[in-house]
Amino acid sequence: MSQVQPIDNVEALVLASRSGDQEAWAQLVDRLSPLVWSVARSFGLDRHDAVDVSQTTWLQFARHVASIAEPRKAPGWLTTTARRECIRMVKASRRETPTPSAALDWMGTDDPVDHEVEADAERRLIWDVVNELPENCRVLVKMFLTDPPPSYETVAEVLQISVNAVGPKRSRCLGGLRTLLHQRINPSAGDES
Amino acid sequence: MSMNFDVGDEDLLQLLRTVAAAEDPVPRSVLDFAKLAPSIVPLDRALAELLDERPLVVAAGLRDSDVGQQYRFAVGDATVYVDISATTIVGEFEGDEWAVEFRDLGGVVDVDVQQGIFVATSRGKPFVLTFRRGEDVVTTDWLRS
Repeated sequence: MSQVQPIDNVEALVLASRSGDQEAWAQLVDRLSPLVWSVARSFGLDRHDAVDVSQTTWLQFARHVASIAEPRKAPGWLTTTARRECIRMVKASRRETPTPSAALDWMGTDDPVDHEVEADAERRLIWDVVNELPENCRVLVKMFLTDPPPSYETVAEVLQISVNAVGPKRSRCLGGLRTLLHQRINPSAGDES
Repeated sequence: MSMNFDVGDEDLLQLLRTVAAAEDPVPRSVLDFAKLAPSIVPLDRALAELLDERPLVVAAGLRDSDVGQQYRFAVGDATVYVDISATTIVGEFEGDEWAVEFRDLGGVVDVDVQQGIFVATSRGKPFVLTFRRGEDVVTTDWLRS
């Protein structure tokens, strides 16, 4: 079982960025952009809107990085800001969460397809199923897909739940996802379990 | 279909990371923008600083409405009018001695008297203007409305 290390030196990167270290800032961006992106996408925004939310979030972070009281909490600051931007954008556009992809419709075809195409299709189907999760689970799962994953504290802040609730909720969401994946993608394996 | 989902939580997340990397990667434009973010200056703040910076002359609010804002940047005989709307940046250029370069995160947009500037973008996207005449170069910060 893989053991993923938590983000460990964000504080150092934030402090270096404050003093104008561009390399530290770039590392911070590389490290935390997937987290911001995951929040934007988990709120059901399309890629265009998610780009806007991500960019606005980073711009605000750049303006406030010098005044963030606890630099180690920068991931929480970013995700909270991204969440607020998402809510603002959803309210403004009144866009609905995308409906499950039509990709599911062509499951079960007997036509021979080459291996690479099949793998692509399988990935797409899995991603569709992730996007079908209830909002809180979708947000949580996508946040944990960043590598390294955010702290439970950060996840709790975004989901507005207690830190102690994150672990159990993570298990429940992944359990639910596993069931959905079996139902939609790999029903025979699900029956065997 | 061949993937096995009856694995532990960490392994399932690892599998999903591979899927996410292929299906929904962070766009390059987000990374580029984020790395530039500390040097992007809001136009309102930039204007106050630029007004004292010769030879660049900047004027704002030539037109400011729901549909857009217009700014004027001038160096010597060269003037660029930039209209920023929700979906486009449109610029007009006047002048013979200076060449003007308009750049946004997508790269350089050539500017000439006939064609001007037309960039499909959304309000808030940063850009930088550079005026060149021989060895003289005058450039703005990265600006964002």
